[in-house]
Amino acid sequence: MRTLRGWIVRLVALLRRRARERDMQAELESHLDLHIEHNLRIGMAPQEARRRALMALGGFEQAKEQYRDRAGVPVVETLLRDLRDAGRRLRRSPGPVLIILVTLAVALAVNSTVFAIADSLLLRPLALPDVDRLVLVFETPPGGGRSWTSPATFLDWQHRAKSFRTLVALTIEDAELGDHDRPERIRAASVSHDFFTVVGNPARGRGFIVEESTFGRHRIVVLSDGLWHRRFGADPAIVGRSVVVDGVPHRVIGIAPPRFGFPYGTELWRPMAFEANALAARDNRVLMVMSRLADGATLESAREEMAAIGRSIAQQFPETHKNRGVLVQTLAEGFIEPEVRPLSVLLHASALLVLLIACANITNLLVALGVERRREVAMRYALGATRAAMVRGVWLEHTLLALLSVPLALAVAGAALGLLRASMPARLAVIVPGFELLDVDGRLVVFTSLLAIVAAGFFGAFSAMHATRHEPEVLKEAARAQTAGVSRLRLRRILVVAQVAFVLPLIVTAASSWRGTRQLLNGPHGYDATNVITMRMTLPEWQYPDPSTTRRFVARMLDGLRREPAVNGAAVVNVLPSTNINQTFALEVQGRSAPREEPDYVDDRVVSPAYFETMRIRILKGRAFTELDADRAAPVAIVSASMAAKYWPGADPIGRGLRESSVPGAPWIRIVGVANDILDNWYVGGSVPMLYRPYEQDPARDFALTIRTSDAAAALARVRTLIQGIDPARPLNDVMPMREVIEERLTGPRQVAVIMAALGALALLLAVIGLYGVVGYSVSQRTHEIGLRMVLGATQRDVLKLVVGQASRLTLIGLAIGALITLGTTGVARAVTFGIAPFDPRWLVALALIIAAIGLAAAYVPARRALGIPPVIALRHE
Amino acid sequence: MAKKPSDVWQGTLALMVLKTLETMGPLHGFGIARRIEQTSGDRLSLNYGTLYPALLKLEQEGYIASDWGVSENNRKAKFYRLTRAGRKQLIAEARAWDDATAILARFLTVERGDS
Repeated sequence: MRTLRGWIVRLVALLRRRARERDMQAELESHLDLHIEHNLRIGMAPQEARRRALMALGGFEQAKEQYRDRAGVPVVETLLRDLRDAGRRLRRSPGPVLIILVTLAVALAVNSTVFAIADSLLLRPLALPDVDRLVLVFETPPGGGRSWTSPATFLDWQHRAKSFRTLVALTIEDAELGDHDRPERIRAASVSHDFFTVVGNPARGRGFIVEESTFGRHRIVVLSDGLWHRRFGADPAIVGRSVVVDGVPHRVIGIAPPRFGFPYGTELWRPMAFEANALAARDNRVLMVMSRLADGATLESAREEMAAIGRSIAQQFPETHKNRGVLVQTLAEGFIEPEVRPLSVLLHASALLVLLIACANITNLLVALGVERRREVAMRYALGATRAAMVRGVWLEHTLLALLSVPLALAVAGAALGLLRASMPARLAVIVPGFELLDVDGRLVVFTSLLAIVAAGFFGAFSAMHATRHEPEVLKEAARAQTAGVSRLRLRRILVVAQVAFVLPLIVTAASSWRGTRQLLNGPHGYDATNVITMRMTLPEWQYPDPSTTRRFVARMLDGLRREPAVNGAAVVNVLPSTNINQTFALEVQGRSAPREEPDYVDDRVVSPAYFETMRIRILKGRAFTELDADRAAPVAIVSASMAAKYWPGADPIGRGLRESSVPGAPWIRIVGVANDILDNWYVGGSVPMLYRPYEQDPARDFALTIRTSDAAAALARVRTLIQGIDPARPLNDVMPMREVIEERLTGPRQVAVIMAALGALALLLAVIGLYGVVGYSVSQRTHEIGLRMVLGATQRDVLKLVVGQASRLTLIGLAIGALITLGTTGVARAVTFGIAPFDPRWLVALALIIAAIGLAAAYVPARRALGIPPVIALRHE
Repeated sequence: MAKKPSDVWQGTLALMVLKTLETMGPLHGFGIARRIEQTSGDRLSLNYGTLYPALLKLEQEGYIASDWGVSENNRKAKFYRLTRAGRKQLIAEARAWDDATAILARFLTVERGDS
């Protein structure tokens, strides 16, 4: 305790060194005076009295030194002195220091930006209490991947598992809030009653209780904070009042905490009530399951337990669970779209490469600076400095420099993140978990500072080695600068080669990413996205209870649209291309042996007859759907070209049969046509088998309307009037041109492409600066030699060849290594373009040529300058 | 200065300083040193250079406090005095020292009786 107090006093004393020093001086002087006086009193001669007093003290300066050691903290004081020295040295060469600061700041900023993205979107995307202990539980189908589970299996899990506080089931479906005046579709979730105890209680009111999970008592809701503000003016009295959800009054019992929108930006939560008949079917896999690990349980123990439970369920219910396991993932793992992770790794790796390239440049500059300081270094050695002390000094200088660049880096990163936030459509931002957290925060400051220190260690290591070399001969007056410059030059050449080698794969990948995104955006998509507007509609069950009412609504709407002059084609489809939703069809092919345990799934599109014409999807064989393919007519289907090739290779699919294997006794469906492939789920790479069925034969209440028109505004106005006439309460959701649908889906990859392009450009710029620096330096070092050569009869051409030849050798070696790296990582290029634009060697060659040309230009400038110096002056050059 | 004995010495020096200040009241560094030497019958010879760091340490730990004042001969000097914590520390350390010497004394007696 007292020792601690002593340390605190000593540390504080560091700040008051002057006063302390004065005090000490005065006290020791007073001591000497008192002692001398005493000695005189006992009869010593004045000389002797003073000598004895000093001896007893053990020397005045020595006493002071002992005193100082105790007064302050010696290690810290040395450090502070070194730090002051480092600062002084940095101030002496402001130009290079400024360049280093800016270079480092930009390179750090790109890393910080990427880190911030990964941190808020990947590492802790969900602002939930103690999020690390929240998990998702899935079934694993035999073919791999993960699937939701059925209510029956969920209840089994909940009953048996001990590793969790409680298991919570969720389903996500949109809900319609409000009655006839202002209906609004919002994201809603049905959750089992424990949901809020797992994710945190509502800010106002309460969560659900177990009794509310039964039919009849389940008409209650919890609203999100955002919805509460938007729709109800943040009126606290809303709790306890009734709101209309899907046409039925529900009582509001709580308001969720601000910014809480789990999962996927949900704005309204309802208790889940299990119907008795839903509990019978174990293949009714509609529930997402989440939970919080129980105290003492770990992710591993939970995984083991659930695996055992999964095995026992598989034994018990072989017909629905054979070869099915259970997967437990953390929320962060579970919520990240699978394509995001490789992109994140790519961005991190690229940002690090940029930092490495920047470090190489900085090392170059520092080595050049070190040459200027050789005299100072030699002098310090001569005065008795140890190498360790010198290295410490240099290291401190570099760390100081690196830390100075951190605020600058954070400012740049902050601006970049601001741009990123601004470029994200608001409706996407709400469903990207963690997006609102994207900003400069404490974690980012810590990360950037640590990275800066690591970078300082990295670029400092080489230059410290060189800068602190003991070279006493430098002190001799006429020592030639060149004598010691050789190994320094070699290091700098290696650095330039490394830079070029890193730049090539970086810009090839950036180009692939850019190219892939352009291609996804501009097609060919297999359909024509221009002049098509789209919107989504949902017919609520309470108003449209059966298929015939749904059919009637759609038929009336399409009929009306057909008569509109502004509309050149209109059709409905269950799922628009290029969206992140999908509907699949468990395929059984007629004439094949009995369906396998796990059927093939093909993408399932239910369309009205005019869909192919409206979207301009070519029918390659057979026919499109017609009005005759109606409800009671024979079931028909159209298959995509890739589906035809996969299931009827080399044969004509028309006239063949298929059916849905998951529906027992489903009628056979006859294929009447083959449609061109379209680019839909681009992230799975290329085209996937797709099945089209007539809307009349399987009407969905949830569908999109596509309209081909050259006058979107007029067409839209007519659509609104028309629908008003059929069902005044029906809102149109997500109205946007088809092209915008594609753009929105590509937001992520486009941002990645932009960041990659910026990284590639930055890396190239840094490498060119590096090359220019090295060639320039070597020319200035060889000015004397060049002069000599010219005097001895070398032509300008020869000299140019000498200088530029050296630069091009470095560039070519770098490019060769870079090409090898690029060829070794073509998988990366495939990942960033999702297989749409695979690695193309022509691009490698073209980009390598561009780098070589820029490299030569960077070498040519200093070479010309060297030639401009008259030989006589060059000869005199030291 | 050898490391190990100085540690022991430092501990006893602190105790001596505290005891001196308790009996003599506020005193300057030279006075403390002289008093320790006199009390020991001049059998101890202090290196005065080690005294000041020891005083500083005691002050940092809050056992003594210091003020500038004037000596009996009208010289400016820094006077140290015992704080309340210092008084407590003195009692505790004196007792520990008594215990230690008592144990050692008994140990030495037994040793002699055996041989």
